Amino acid sequence: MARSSTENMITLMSSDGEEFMVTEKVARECTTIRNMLEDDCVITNIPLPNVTSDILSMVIEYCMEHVAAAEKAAAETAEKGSSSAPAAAKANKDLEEWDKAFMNVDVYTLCDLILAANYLNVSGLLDLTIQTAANLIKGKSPEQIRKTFHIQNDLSLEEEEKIRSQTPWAFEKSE
Amino acid sequence: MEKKPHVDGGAPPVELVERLPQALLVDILSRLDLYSLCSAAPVCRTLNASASQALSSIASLDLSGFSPTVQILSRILGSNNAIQHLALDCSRLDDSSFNDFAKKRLVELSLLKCSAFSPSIFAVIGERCPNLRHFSLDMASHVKKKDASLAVNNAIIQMLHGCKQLESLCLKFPLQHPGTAYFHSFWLALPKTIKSLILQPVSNRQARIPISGKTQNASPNYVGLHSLSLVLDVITDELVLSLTSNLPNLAELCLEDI
Repeated sequence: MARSSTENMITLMSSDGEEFMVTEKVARECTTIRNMLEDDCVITNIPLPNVTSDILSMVIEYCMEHVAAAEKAAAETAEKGSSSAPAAAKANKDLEEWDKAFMNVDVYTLCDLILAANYLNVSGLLDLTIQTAANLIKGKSPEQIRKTFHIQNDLSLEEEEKIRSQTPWAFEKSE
Repeated sequence: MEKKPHVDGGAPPVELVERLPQALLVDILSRLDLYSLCSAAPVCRTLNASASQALSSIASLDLSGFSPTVQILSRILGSNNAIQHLALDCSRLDDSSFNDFAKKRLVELSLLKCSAFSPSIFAVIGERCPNLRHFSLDMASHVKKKDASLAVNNAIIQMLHGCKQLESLCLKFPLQHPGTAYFHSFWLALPKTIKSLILQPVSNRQARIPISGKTQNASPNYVGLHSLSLVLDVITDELVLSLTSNLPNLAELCLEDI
């Protein structure tokens, strides 16, 4: 079998039947898909029954942005022989800004993205979404955390009091 | 409490924490500081379980900012076998907390403001922390300084025999014990890996390095010391000479008198 070129197109199909055409390079950002391609290199159509079209399009957007950034960095390195540190730092910062803007989503979307990034094994996106969720918890009281994530408290008053009493110092500041 | 149906437009009526598998919740909670992690525990049953699991896999923890009780330390570290770096304010801890912090994987342990530990603390660490590379212990300033007993000295020797990878040792509590014999055994018990030693305070006579090792074929382990810091009752030329001539690799020497 001839080696597949980077321009090979792969069709990804979401749980609700929508089809997304992406380059193999973008698809390979998902380790789960990369493994499928390595097992069977003629595969061109991949159904993803765990990911809805809304979320899949976001995952693809993330992968495309990161592939483009990596390609741009590689092209600059090839052109100049070595990468210039300030330019690389700026590119990194731009990508970080992009990630930050990309994470401006409601908690339900964030949760879906975490699940999709985990299922498709996109390590950069998983790291980004997990960190975003952690940042949403950081510094909040239990009541604020419930509100942020729409969590119903299923603990009895006694149970909650007991858990708090095990680490009372943690609540001196926040409440 | 009644479950209210979701009314906000379009949001899926499923609870977030129920949709994420526990492994991912633990991943999220593991990125929090200890305060935030403990604030997440009383949110609901699922987060409490995930928080406990996140606590059990913490590898590095600084508990020098507040003084945990035996009970609180047990909640934080009781089921943790992953801890490698730990700084601990011990002012409210006694011997019953050994199980909660003397863990097998510890590489770095700082025990601060110790006040109620018995000498067996050293023996316990020697027995349970074979991977320890950096150990420091200091005593709370309000504790009345008294001369160390022979039991303390023996326990320290026991610790040195157990912690064979120790690179730095810092003991800030009185080591003065009448007689110098045991201190020879301290110098000779230092493991091969030792690089840095801080003893405050120690007496001039104890600080003198035993000559015995030099005449034997193998050099004693203490010749590996790069850095030495002592607080002494009195500094004499004889002592400085003894240290500099016995420690060929010494790059840093700090001597202070009380």
